[in-house]
Amino acid sequence: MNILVTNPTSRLSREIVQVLTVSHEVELAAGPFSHEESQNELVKGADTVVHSLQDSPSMNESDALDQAMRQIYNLLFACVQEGVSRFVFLSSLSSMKEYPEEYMVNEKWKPLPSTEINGLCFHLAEFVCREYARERSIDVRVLRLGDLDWDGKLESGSVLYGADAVSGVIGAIECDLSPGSWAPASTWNVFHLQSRNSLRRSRFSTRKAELQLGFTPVSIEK
Amino acid sequence: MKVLILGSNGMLGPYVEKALQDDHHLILTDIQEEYEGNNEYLQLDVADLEGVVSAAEGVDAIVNLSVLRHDRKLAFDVNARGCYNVMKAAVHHGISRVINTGPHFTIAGPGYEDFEFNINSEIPSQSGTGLYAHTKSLGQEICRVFSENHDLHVITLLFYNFKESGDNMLSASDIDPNQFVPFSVTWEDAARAFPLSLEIPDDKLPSKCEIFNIFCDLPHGQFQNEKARRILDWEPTDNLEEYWKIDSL
Repeated sequence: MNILVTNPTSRLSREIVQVLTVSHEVELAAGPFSHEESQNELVKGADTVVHSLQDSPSMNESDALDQAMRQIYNLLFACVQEGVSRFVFLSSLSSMKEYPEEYMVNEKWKPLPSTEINGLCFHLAEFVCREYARERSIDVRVLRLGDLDWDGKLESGSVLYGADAVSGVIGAIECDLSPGSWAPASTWNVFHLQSRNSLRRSRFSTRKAELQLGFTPVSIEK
Repeated sequence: MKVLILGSNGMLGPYVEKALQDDHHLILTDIQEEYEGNNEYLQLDVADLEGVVSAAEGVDAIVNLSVLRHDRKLAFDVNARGCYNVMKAAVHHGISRVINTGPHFTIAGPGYEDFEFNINSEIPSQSGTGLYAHTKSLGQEICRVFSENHDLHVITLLFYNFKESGDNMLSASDIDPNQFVPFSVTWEDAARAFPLSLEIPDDKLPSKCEIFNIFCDLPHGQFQNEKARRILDWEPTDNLEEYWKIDSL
């Protein structure tokens, strides 16, 4: 499979590429993603694009919004034109954290984004992805990631260890989703990814990712 | 009430200005330098966050008429980021009423319009990916999120097609009923929704983010304007029957 992964400054992107390279042709590409013809060249020949938002402290809110709305629109526009069949967007569980901690929140719950710029950007990027999935029939998979932790030190009710994040993304890239019993497989799928912690109950259900993507989060004793 | 209007030099702007200027202190703004009128005017790009925040200081309400349809960069800057800038300005200054505007497919994109009838403004947004509709829909979503997180009310007025009324109307030979959009309204009737939207008390609004279809009374049955009548007390005065009634054609 030919796979394009964006956001090379992200450790997660680099780790994903390292794993994928074993059995796929992989390219790592940096934004910004314009609407020039070069955008089509970038995605040409790719079967799957894995996209995430660049997180830079120097980025102001206008640039962050531009990245989350216009640039992802441009990327999806090029993907549709070039026949890319699958688009995996790495989002965040932040828009689901407004629910009380005692609720077991899965993908059927309505997102409750705040106006904090990073969370809002994830929400708006999902908004763009959803319309492409609905209208242009590209297979879009949104992975709402918990709080990424690479060294096992993060105190969070929705921690996602690095290795789990990588395995979840690989599952989203490689798995063909089965049709439901009464409808064809949807072109729009959201999955929550969170690791297990033996001392804290998970806030977010990862059942859908486990069943459909083969996601098997490790359980770490803290 | 002191009202900041963004995008006031557009097609609808002069009608809104006329409908509001007798009862409100208006600060008109647009990206264009020129303005021919007697109200206070500032040149302002709605995509300029600091500029919008600065222009909104001391006002009671913001009316956002800004729109850009074709250029991809500018459409996102104006239609989507512009709404973010408006809402940031409202929160910054404690402005509790924002009137946003957009085309009907901000909410009811081709997935509704090409298939359905009785389309009201309460439906979940499905703009599709068309540039104009999608960027306006993102702007509306930003408004909705801000209204749910802050102490302010957003009223969004949706339009589609504007018609001249009275003496300015097209001659009968220029009217093509097959081109008539069943979401049309005269400029004057459209503008009359703005004072109603500014003046309606918070407790008369069902939620902090309300959307209204603004078009005249039509027998086609594809869209519904009942909510604007019921909540805003908006009454269109011209049903544009010259576009759809055989005796008038």
